[in-house]
Amino acid sequence: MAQFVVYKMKNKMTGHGDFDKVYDSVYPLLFKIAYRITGDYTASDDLCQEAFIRYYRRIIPLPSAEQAKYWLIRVVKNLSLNYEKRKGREKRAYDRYLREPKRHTPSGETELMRDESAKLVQEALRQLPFKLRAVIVLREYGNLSYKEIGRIIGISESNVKVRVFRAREQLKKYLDEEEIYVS
Amino acid sequence: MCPDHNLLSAYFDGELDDRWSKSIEEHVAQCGKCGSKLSQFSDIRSILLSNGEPEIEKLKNNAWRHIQNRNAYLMRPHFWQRRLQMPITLAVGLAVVMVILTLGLALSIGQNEKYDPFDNVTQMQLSGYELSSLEDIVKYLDSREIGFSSTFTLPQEPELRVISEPTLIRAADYKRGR
Repeated sequence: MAQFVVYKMKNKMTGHGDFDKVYDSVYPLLFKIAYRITGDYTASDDLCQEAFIRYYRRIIPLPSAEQAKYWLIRVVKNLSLNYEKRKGREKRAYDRYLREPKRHTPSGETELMRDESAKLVQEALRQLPFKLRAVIVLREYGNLSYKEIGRIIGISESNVKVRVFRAREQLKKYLDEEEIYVS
Repeated sequence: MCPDHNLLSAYFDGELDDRWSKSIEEHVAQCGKCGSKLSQFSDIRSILLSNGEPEIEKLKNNAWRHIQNRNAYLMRPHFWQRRLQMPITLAVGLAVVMVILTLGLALSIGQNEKYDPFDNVTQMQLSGYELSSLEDIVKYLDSREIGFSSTFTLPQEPELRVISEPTLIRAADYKRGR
């Protein structure tokens, strides 16, 4: 325990040298994961900042940059899914209040319209259940192996394999419905 | 016999060991159905990665500043740990004022606490009693079941005469010796 305290103190005194390195190498990956789960640019930035602040405030520092990376990915994944759940609840409440059926993304002449492809991808990811969405995002955007994904989410490699496959199947179904050609 | 699609998906991700990979590779080369499934996986990946990456670098620098500010705020010293800086002359002046105030306070407390035996004197009217001696007074107080410290003020020019041996003192001596 004393060793950890000394480590932490040293880290603080030297201006978090490790923190800087971890931030530089992991931030882009964290942002990609948060962005692909939430589809929201600003929210993803906030969630990444929150993850790094939690990392900074950890009482017991993580012994290696690699462990810090997995820890941060887990945190940002959970924060992003929680954000999505909260946003979903708010949207449902809003729809109920207006007595309107579930609406799709508005198609006004806004900045969001500049890239239909981006919208399509985000919608395709959004219709996935959380447990499939997290796995496919970590696989395709995080470029992580099944072993790493299992370690982050806390499931077995074979479970990761099944979830990745199911996510692909559901994405194909959605894209077929949207009349996007998938061979 | 075609492999399970779960296995094909894992093969597509490069997650199978060499033995499995080789046998699936051989199978896919001659099976149109499995080849088509692999193409699906490939297309889905292409679509997912088609819209490029957001501009992360600028965001990263902004986020860094925010995180540093918040971390600095979180790590700021507590109130009692903060340092105070002032000119020496001001510090000396303050010290002198503190000493004077302390001395003044101590003196005023000392004066206030001087014992005054005539403070809180309760005057009692002993009307209807003939009190001719100290013993009578003690008997009177006992009869009233009053317990407190009493101060008796003697006349300015008392005339003290020895009448007899003081029985009260004798009784007290007797009790102490018991």
